[in-house]
Amino acid sequence: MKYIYKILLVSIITSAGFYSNSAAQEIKSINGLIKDINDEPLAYVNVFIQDSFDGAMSGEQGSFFFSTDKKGVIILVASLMGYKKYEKEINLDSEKNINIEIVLESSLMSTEAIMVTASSYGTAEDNGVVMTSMDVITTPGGAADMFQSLKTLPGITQVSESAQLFVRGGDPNETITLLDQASLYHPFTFESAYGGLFSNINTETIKGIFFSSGGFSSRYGNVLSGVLELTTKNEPEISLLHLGVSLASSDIYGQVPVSISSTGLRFSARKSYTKPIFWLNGGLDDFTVMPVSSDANITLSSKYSYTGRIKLFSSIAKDEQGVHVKLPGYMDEFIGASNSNFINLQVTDIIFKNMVLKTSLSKTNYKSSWKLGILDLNRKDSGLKLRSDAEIDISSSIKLLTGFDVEYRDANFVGIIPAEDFDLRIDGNGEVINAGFNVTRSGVYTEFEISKLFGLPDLFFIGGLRGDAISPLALKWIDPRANFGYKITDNLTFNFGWGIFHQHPDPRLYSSSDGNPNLKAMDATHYIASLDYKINKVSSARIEGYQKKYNKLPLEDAVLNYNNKGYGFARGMDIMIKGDLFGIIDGWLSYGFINTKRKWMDFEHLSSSSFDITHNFTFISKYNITPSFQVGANYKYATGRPFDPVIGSNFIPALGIYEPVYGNKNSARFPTYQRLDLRLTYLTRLFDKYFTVFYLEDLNILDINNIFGYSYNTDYTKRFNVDSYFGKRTIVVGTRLSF
Amino acid sequence: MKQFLILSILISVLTVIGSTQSVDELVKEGKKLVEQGNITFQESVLVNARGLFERAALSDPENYLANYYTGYTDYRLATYYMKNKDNTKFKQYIKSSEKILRTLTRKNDADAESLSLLATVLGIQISLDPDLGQLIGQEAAILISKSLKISPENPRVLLHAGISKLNTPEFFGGSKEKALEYFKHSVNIFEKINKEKAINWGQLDALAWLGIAYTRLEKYDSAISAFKRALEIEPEFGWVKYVLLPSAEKESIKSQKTNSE
Repeated sequence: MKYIYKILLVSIITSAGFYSNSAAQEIKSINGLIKDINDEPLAYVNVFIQDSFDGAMSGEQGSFFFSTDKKGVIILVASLMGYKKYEKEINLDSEKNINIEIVLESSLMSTEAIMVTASSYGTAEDNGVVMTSMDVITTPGGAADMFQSLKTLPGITQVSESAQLFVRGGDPNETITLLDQASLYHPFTFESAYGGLFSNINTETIKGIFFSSGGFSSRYGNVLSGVLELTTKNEPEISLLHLGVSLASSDIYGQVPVSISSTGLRFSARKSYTKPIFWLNGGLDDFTVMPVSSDANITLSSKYSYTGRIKLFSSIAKDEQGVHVKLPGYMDEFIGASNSNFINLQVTDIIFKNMVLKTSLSKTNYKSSWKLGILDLNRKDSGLKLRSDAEIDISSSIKLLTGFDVEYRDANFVGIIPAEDFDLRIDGNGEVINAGFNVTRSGVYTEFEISKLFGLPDLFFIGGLRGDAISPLALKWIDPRANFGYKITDNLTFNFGWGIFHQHPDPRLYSSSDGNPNLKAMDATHYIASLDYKINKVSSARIEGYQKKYNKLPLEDAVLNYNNKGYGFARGMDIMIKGDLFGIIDGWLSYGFINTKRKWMDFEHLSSSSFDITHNFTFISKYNITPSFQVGANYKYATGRPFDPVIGSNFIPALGIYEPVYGNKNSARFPTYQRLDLRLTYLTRLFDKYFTVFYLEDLNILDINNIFGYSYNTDYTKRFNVDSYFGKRTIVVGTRLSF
Repeated sequence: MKQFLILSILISVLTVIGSTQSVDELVKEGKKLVEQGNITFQESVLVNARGLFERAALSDPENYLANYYTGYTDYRLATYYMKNKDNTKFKQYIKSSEKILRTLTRKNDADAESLSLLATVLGIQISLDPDLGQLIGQEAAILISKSLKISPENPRVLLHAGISKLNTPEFFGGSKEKALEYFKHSVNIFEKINKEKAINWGQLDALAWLGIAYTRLEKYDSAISAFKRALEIEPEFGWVKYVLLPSAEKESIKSQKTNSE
């Protein structure tokens, strides 16, 4: 105890010495109170005079006191983690003692954690239900592919096994993919009539994934149904090399810090070769040219200042395939090939202290060729885009988002298409097509994110307007969008989203020969209501109801080829539960119910959309048998896709073949789609040094014969199943080494 | 009594702050506080220490010690908030620590002190979110290996290497035995080195972690010895006094009972 008193005595003497000494130097006292915007005192705030050592910490009641011998104008600073730094000029000569009240604003918007718009999924907590890159990598049957993994989310219907995203009954063209603000028109390999099979962007180069299946922000224009936004990784801190080899592909990924001044390089290259997998699992005879693809990505990123970063991302990809196709009464060969390249330069910086500005300039090129009998179609699609987005913190509860984009797109279709869609014979009648679509779209938007709406701490609003204009098509529109959220309890949040969305129809429909260059933009109105429930730290659940109304859809017209009198709707419900299921299994369960009908294109009546998959159910589970062994399962169930049934045929003497007679549009459905994939993963360190993953995937382990479509005999009296990509059991083994 | 002690130190420190001081003096006072904060596990003391380091670093942005100790104190505060289940503050401080340490390692990629502390800061994040293991686990392992190459006899580097080995699953290269070796080595060096070095924290932590490693290997008597040695140096070291030692003693009794049966 004596020791304590000695210390106190020394302290008091020291203090006394300090005061007497300071008095001689005309000291001034600075004292005050520090509070937050809710008038609550803030403890442990570091208050000091800039460029001096004079300062103090605020106490439990938010008060502080210190003395200084400084004179004239000083800058008083108050700093606390999680709050914006406070700075104020004070003239010490004007008053003997300074008494000041300081209010600190939180550096986070106070309800940021709940400012989750309806229908959104992302890699960060503030994006909604979380989908991490680890989820992508470990999804059984997902081939570590972003698109295949995203397809396990509710709201994305299982129309086919392709990687394309069919969102809530919409055509895949109604969903856009952005990478670091740039548009990716063709992020797939092996594109065919039902979309590409995998992404050509390496998952390892991606830092963030945000996906929205409706009611999305005003930031996104010229899109009706869904948004996938990807952000690439910044400069790496350390060098790494990953090598992967499987029965289906080989790949390499590397990252190198170029200099210690925050510049770095990431690169990846991948080559797929399907021969081994078809050799093992059967099916070699189906191909005339084994499907192969290759792609490479490179990211060069540099932090040029404390707040600024410049990033260059580039990718190239190509693929080819030749496959036997069973056509009515004969076999033919489909030959497809494509190549694409993409480059994007993005600059990000903080300006005016409270504004984050991101700007990107990108260029993309895509070419493809499809040959099947008389069909010989070459496609070119290129784009040039400039986009800038600004985020401005106006106050602790209001954020302004604004920006613009200018996008030039040039799409061309050249070649021969069959005169009759049922006659693909090489010597059948063909029509020469030479259609072009060269447009420039300009868009601008403004949006506010407001927390504590009407003073209610748990109510937030996100809403804005965007305008787009497309020349020379003379299309213009203004889209208002809004989202309200209310945090009912700490774990339960209600969201309501509404918005109007416009998009121009498929470029092919603007052809002056068989399209209509005067087609107007399609529009959709979204209404979404959702409840998000955070079960615990790692588990969450969401239930959501939605309605979409489509208007001005393109509809075949005897005179104009197409008019804008099409319409339709989509309504349904999505449920997702994700996290630690039943206490032992890590995974997620998603269910989507949809009813969607359209009258558009060649539909004579309001009929089920071609993407109307009534029930979609996915259950993903991963279980660690031991710390180094993980077993994963992916079970999918989906209602069969609608199609036009053939109900008869007519012989056409002039052509010498039969013409199918179809029943009502989409009045029949393919059988239910079911698939169970299993994955066994073994993690180890080779030579006690190299982190290594061995995996074995058994795709469609139950060998369920899922159908891609039907083919027919010559007079359409018999039909035959065309298997889907994974229509039979397929085994894939592979390994991945890290150096 | 503990409160009196802290109060007196705070009074002394805050009094000194008002006088004309150099950055070095601020850092020196901050070091005293952060050490005290580590011993008593008190938020107020750690936050005050951080305030001093922050002021020192703002006055002299190139001052290595001011920056290093700000990062170190943020790591201590993060562990405080982690134990108290304040996830928001934990994230703020652990991210701040990571940012500061990354800046230091970019400036000098042979800075073993910052490299190894950064590895532990990454490791804590992995322990709370195992998904991060795939993304940053390898980086943490590389940072440790690099630090050991640069400074194999630095007791804090050995301490971080031990923590990493102990907390890494075996199939990723973790090993209790190897961790024990690192901790022993670290403790031995701490016993010999000059305590007045510019960076001088870690001796108590090394003894605590040595005890933890022994406990995990079910060598309770050795664990108790290590914990008691820590309390000889600092009788008020709360983590050992109130948590680790009583738990090891309990386990020891349980183990003896099992053996006698």
